Amino acid sequence: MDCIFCKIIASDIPSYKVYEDDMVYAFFDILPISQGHTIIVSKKHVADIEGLSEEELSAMTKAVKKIGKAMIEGLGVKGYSVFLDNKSAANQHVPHVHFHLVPRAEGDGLERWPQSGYGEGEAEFCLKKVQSKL
Amino acid sequence: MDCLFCKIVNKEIPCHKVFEDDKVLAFLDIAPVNPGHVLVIPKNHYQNLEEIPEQELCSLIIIVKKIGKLIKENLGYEGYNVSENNDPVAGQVIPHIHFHIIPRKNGDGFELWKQGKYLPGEAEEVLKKINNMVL
Repeated sequence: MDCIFCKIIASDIPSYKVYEDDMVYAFFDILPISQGHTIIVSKKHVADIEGLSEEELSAMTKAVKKIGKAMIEGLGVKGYSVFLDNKSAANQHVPHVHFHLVPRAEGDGLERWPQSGYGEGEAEFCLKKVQSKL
Repeated sequence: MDCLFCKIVNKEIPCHKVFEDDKVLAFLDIAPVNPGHVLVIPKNHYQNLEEIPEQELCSLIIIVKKIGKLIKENLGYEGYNVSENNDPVAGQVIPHIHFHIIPRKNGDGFELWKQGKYLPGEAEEVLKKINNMVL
């Protein structure tokens, strides 16, 4: 298996382990956005969120909640950003599904992406396309 | 209840509803990063991940997964970001927990935050502080 995250889970590559249970492994990103930046992965190799079972996704999300609380209490931060990038178009660099948990501080300079608006009828058009498949 | 999202749940304020069941509501963000940007919220009011019970959080994220796939496939996108801003310091504007699904196309220009590195011993220090608290 040529996946860097699978190698980390198998301890073939060392990591700063934050948390582990039957289904989930969490470790520090060694190129952190902020100190304590943690990556939470499914132990099973699944490329992206769409390949995860509901049980696996739930296990990962529960771990995010646990670790987020530990960050607040342990690092004294007030909050954190959680994100999951699905596919390379969304900047997913490692094709093994993972959440990022990034501790945040006032004035840390991490900006949200700019938001715009909808032109006339544009929102309704999007909605119709999505709802027709529900 | 003075919460904008609770008013949307209670239909006091309209929304472009994408999905609804007994626990979860999903609707278009009216200020999208890309068209089709969806917000997914629990119908019960919880401020953040610390408040929402595990069971409801799991129901929420399962819907996020379903809607993400739908948006990608039906609006012609190539991927999406799922994100949650936990607390105002993290950019949380509405204090009612919500996941963003931001649809993405190759080359649309939205970059991730810059990454840095740890000085010798720094990672170990930080890890100790978190590990002491993880149950």
